[in-house]
Amino acid sequence: MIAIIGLLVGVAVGILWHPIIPLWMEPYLPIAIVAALDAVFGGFRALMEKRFDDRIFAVSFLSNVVIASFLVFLGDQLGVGAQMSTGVVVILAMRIFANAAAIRRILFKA
Amino acid sequence: MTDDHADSVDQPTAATSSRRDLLAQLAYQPSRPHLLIGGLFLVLGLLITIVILRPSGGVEEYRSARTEDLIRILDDLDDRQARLEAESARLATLERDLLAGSTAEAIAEARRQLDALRVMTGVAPVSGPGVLVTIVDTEGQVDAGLLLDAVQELRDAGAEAIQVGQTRVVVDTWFADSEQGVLVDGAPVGDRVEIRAIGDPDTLAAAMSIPGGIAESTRTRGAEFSATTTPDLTISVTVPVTES
Repeated sequence: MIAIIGLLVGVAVGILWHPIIPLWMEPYLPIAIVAALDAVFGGFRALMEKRFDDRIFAVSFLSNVVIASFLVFLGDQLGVGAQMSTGVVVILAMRIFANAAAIRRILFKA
Repeated sequence: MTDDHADSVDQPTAATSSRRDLLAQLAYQPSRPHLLIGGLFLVLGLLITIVILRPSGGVEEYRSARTEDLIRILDDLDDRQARLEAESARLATLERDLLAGSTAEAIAEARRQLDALRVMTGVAPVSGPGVLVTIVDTEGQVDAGLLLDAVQELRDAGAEAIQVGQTRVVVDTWFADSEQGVLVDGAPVGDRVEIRAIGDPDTLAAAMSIPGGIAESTRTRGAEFSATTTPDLTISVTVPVTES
């Protein structure tokens, strides 16, 4: 519940405030979102398995975002930015799918 | 009786507990962990909104391009600018020379243009480096479209003068299919078509052999195709000059 409220408030703030983010941050935003989504799906899975812990969720959320952004930054510095972004997104998407499958199994028993 | 009683006891209990749950939810006081989770989701929502509402200034194509692509595009533009500047400088020099009134230079320039026009209109024989394309078609599979494509490819690749069979290709040359095979300006080309093109040999040869290009489609139709680059090719056939 609080999660949905938070999400909606975030969207509302984004629309109303319309922040201009610095240019150097732009390549990292999509990666950060995918990393955060990975943490969200992981958290939801833990919730379904009744072992959700808010501290673990917060830490995994933040560390996912930071590590993913750092990897992309490192990739850019090494001159393989495009490949690194793709790699990170692929791995995170795989994890999201795995978590989604686990959630589906618990929710629908299928 | 006992069953009834048990039921009547159970039902209110279930109702009370669900009502208590509802009350508990309504009187819900957010605890720190919940606020933390809510805050993180707020950040996520904010990020998604920022990315979706990203101001789309400039050309979309360049926004999504990576650094290397942008560098390549910039290099292309630089090259083009350099070429255009060189052309501009050449024309400026020409203008100055012509305005300076030196008759000799004006004549030289006019002669140069005349030569170029002679080659283009096909009234003068040409020789120089180029490619000799030979198509041997015993089964009659080569049609006018293919030959026209070949000529267009050669022109695109910068051929200055082209000869197909015994015909000089100029602006009003035509190709047609007939019972005697392909006609070029009314003359049948026969089973063995020779196309001479003067221009940069490597570029012309490359234009013939691109994937899906003339060489490939000719061979697909079962005809033999060969393109030989030569440093010295002569196109001696000319178009008669008609006074108009």
